[in-house]
This record gives sequence, C-alpha cells and structure tokens, in this order.
Amino acid sequence: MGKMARKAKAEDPLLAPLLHPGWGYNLVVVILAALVAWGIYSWAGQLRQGLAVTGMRDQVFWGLYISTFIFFVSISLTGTFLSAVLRVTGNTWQVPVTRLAEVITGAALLGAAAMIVVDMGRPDRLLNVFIYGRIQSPLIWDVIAITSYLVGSLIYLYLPLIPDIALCRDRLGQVVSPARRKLYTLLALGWQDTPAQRERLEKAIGAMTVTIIPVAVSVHSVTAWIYAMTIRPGWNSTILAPYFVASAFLSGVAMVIIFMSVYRRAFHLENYITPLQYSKLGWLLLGLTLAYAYFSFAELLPGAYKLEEHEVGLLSLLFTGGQAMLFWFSIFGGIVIPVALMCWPKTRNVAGLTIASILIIVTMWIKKSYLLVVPTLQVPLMPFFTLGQYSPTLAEWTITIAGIAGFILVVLLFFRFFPVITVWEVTETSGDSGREFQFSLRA
Amino acid sequence: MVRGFPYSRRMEAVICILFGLVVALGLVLPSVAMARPEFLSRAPANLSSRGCNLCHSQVPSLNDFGQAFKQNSFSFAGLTDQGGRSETPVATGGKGAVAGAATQGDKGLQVKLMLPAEVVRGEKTGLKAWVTAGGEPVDGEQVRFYEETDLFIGGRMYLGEATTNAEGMAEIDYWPMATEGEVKLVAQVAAGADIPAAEGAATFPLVAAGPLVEPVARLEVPFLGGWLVFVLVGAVWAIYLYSVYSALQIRRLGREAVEEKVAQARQERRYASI
Repeated sequence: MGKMARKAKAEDPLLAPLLHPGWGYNLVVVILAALVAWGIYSWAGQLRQGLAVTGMRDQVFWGLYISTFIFFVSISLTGTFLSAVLRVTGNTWQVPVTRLAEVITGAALLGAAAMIVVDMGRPDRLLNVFIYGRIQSPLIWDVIAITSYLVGSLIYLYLPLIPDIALCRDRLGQVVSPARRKLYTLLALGWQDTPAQRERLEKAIGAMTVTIIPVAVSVHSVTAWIYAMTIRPGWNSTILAPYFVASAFLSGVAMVIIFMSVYRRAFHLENYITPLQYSKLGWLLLGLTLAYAYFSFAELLPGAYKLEEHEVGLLSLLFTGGQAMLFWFSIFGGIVIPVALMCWPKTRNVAGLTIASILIIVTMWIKKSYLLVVPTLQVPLMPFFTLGQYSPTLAEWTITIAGIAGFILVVLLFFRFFPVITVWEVTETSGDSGREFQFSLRA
Repeated sequence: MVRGFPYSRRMEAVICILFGLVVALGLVLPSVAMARPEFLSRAPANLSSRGCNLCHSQVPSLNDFGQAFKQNSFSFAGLTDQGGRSETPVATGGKGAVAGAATQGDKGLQVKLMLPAEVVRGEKTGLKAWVTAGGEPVDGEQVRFYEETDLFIGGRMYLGEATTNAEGMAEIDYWPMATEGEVKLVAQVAAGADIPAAEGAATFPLVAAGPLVEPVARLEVPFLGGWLVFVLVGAVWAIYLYSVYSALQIRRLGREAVEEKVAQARQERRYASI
C-alpha cells in the first residue's frame, strides 16, 4: 500500500463522523435543540414580565444564571491548558484531544456570555456596559477579559483547524452539499500545505499560544475578583483568584474526559484516543482534585477560626443550615469519591475516570458556582434583613438547562462539520496511520 | 346535539363548572395573597379611618407610625395619631403649601402637591398630595407619585402610592437623590372606572444638590494607573491582529503556490510540444 493510500486510510475514521454521524447523534441533537427552544420560550416570557418571574429578589439578587456563568467560565480554561500550556512545554500526548478542548472553551465562553445576557433585566441596554462602563469596576474588567479571551480562543481554535478544513475540502468536497463545500473552501484560506504556508501557520499559532495563557489566567482571576472586591462573607478573601484558576483547570480537564469518552465510544476512535491520554489526564485530574481540596480547606479554615459575625452566619448555613446537604455532597461527591475512584486499582480505568469526571463536574457547578453565590447573599448584612431566601423558579431552571444544552449542542454541531481530532497534527506526530500512532504512544 | 356524543351536554356542564371554578380561584387567590388588615381591625376608631396608610407608606414598607407600632410590640396602646413620626419637614400653610399646576378631571377632581418648606437631598421627606372634588376632600382615592427623570431617556420614575384619608390627603415617604438643583414631581390619581385621571405637578429646589459620590483619599502609586490596563489589553489585541494577518497571508501564499504550479504545468506542456 502506497504512502498516500495509507494516509487516506488513516484519515477515513476521523472524517467518517462528518458524513454519517448516525441516528443516535441526530436524536441527541434533536433533544438538545428542543431543550434550547424551551429555554428561549421561557426567556421570552422573562423579557415580557421582567426578572420578577425568577426567584431573585433585592437581597439574593444572583441565582442560577450567575452560578452557571461562573461554571461556564471555569470549564473554558481547558482549551488553553490542554492545548497551549502543554504545547509550550513540548508535550505531544495531548494532540488528539486538543481540538476537543479548544471547542469546549469556545462553546463555554459563548454560554457564559449568554447567561450574563439572560441575567440582565434589560438586555436591550447591553451596549451601555461598553458606553458607560467605568474602568474602576471589576465588572468592566470581566467584560474586557472575557471578550479578549473569547476572541483569542476562537482565533486559537481556528488556526490549527485550517489544514483540516483543507483536508475536508479535498476529501469531502465531492460528497457534501455545495454550500458546505463553499464553507470548506472559504475557511481553508487556500491551504496547499506548502512550506511557506506551514511556516506562517506555525508562527501565528506560536504567537497565540504564548498570548492566550495569561489571558486565560486573567479571565479566571478577574471573575473571582468580582466577588473578592466586596466585603461580603465568603467573598472577602485573597485566595479566591488562585482558587478559581485551580478549580477551572479541574473542571476543564473533567469536561474534556467526559466528551472524550463519549466521542471515543460513539465514533470508534479507540485508535486515536488511547489509554495513554486517559492515563495522563487521570493523573492530572487526581493532582488537580487534591489541589482543589487543599484550596477548599484553606478557604474555609480562616473564617471558621476567626468566626466573625457574618462569617458565622455563612458557615452555619453551609455546615448545618439550609445549604448543608449541597455542601457536604460537594465535599464527598467532588473530592472524596473521585479521589477514591482514581486511586483504587479496580476503578482506575476509563469508566472509573469518566464517572469521577462527571461527579467533579456536577460538584463544581454546586460548590464553585451555586454555593459561592447564593449562601453569601442569603447572609443578612443589614440589621433589618433576615436570612435571605432563594428558590429558583421553573423559568430559571428551563433557561439554565437550555444554556447547558446549548453548550453541548454547539460542541456537537461543530464536530458535525469539522473533525474532532486534529488530523494533520496526529498524522504528523505519529507517522502515517492512527494505528502506528497508538503503538508509538504506548511504547 | 351531534350523534355519537351522548354525553356532550353533561360534558358541557362539567366544563362550565370547571371553568367557573378556575375563574373563582383566579378571583379569590389574589385576595388571599393580599395583606390581611388584622392589625387595622384592632386599631382605635380615630386611627383606623386612615386604612393601610396608617402603618404603610406603600405595602409592605412601614412608615414611621408602622415602625413605632412594631417597636411597641404591635400594640396601639400609648400611640397617638402622630405615632412615632419623626421631624418631617412641616408643610407651610394650613394644609401645606400648594405648589405647581394642577389638572382637573372630568368630574371636577383636582390633585395638588403639598411640598415641605425645605427639601434636603438624601433626607426623608413627607410627600403629600391633596385630592379634592369641587373644593371638598375626596376620601379613599389611590394616588401615585412620580419623579421626572432623565436616565438615558426621559421618563417618570415611580416613587410609591398611597390612599387619600378623610381630609383628602395621601402621603408617602420620599428620599430625594437627584443631582440636579431642582426636582419635578408628579402626583396622579389613576384612571378608574368612573373617575378619569387627574394629576398635579410641581418643581422644587433641592438643598445640598451636587455630585452623589464624595471623593475619598485613594492609594496613589506613581506610574500606575488606568493606562496600564489599556497597554496590556492593547498588546493582547495587537498579537491577535498579527495572528489574523498571518492567517490571511496563508491565502496569498496558497494563491501563489497554485499560480506557480499552473505556470510550471504550462511550461512542461510547452516543452513537451517542442
């Protein structure tokens, strides 16, 4: 078999999902689209009737929307970490999952922006944030940081995609619709795989790799500072920014593992996403979980030791009060059980790691998003306030679920048109075939 | 009746009953959700005539009398008509100074704003409206108070509402916070089934008007300032532009490569023909 023929054979399994994703994929897309449509319907009702349809009031003024915004910002770090940081440090094992991580980043940032718009009582005044915003406000820092990160992430996603788009143009151009063919031709930027083009591309990717890392760290720090710049219990802490960065790494890696497992199984990518990636990501996940556990302890201890008036209210609420069930679930479900799953030899496998990742993602939403926002606002700071109450309404639940469904939908639809694995980098790293790639990695 | 639907009349009856129940529920539930004036029923006769306004400026916010009543362990004993009222700026004249223009509705309803002698920004001010019809006070009329504002677009900001008492007076507590030197207020009787809307408006000067934010001492670090943010963000976006520019150069290089291939093929064909 000739070199070109072997290369084409290696590319086939990676391009197959772009043509025939299967009924299961279509079913999931339809369900997610229905959830998104339901959420849009609820949002229309919210626009008509105002934020009064939510459970948010003047004391607890942030709820599910802002919690989910933080969650999306958290998982958006994954693209930078798995792609940029490991690229800069000369690693290659992560190559098969970098595209996945970068797309998760882009989709998560779009989701974060959507949740902010949803949380605004008057989204038609969104432009006023830019017109009348003051640079002294952490909210404006966040707007600047997230906008920069979103644009940078999309560029960073697009650049390594160019050779693969050209591959789709050349290999699928005759079998896909004319509109899709035009899309591939337009986005491929006339890629001919010449040395001069490669040099240009490498330069651009290199510049973006170095730039996107501090931008990503700034996004997570600034999001933390929105809270840390206040003097509310639980938020008034210097540890919040590094804590956010660590938990963002953790939730990002967990999210990649979940998507990786689904795609590997659904599209038979076992030759490309091998136990090596699980092994490396598993160790990363374990290390990050332990770091997160340390940060959680370090966050709670000073407040629990000093027992200032409002801090007592917050800690009581978390340890024994109305939020205790969620709090202790987040400790056991997000730290103890995942660590046990990753350490116990019998569960140290793909299934165990995926379950641990799902648990971590759920508890990241609970602990680092919901329990960060709501209990602090519940604590009464004014003498005439009592313990604040917050119960999300049906409208909030449907809009939030639609946001999460929309995030998954964006990822799925993206990989309907573009390969989930970076074909040109995988074949470049491994030789000509996926099987060789697998062996070389195992060796 | 259509054959094949022998129970249609009964079904109609069931639907009518269900519909009636839903309507009845719709009528009953809001009243259940409204405040129940249990305390008011215990109030002495000289106080109870003021209705909800006895304790509330606007439900559920308590006015001074309401606060005094609460602090008095929800007892009217020892409380006078003035209750715990603090030093509300006293309106000049018998019923306060009438200020501003007043409109008159079709049925002779007239609304006049009663302004205190002096209004200090940020301090609680009793804002009153006097509703009369043919010179006689009108009792039980709902009055809404607004402030004319200009926040991006001009409009009326809702301040609160109150019901007129036997003297035709409706009052709310108001904390003027405008930065301008004077504020325009409007008192309006909402249009009802038999009473058309009428309103009174007045402009009054604010004492201590000026910027709301008082400058405080801040940490001054030489060479550090907002410019640093612009430089850092600018540098990031400059690299983005460079990357996009590099990507666009790929198109040019690709076009050149294709042209080179075509030229080479032509040359080969030419040589072959020779």
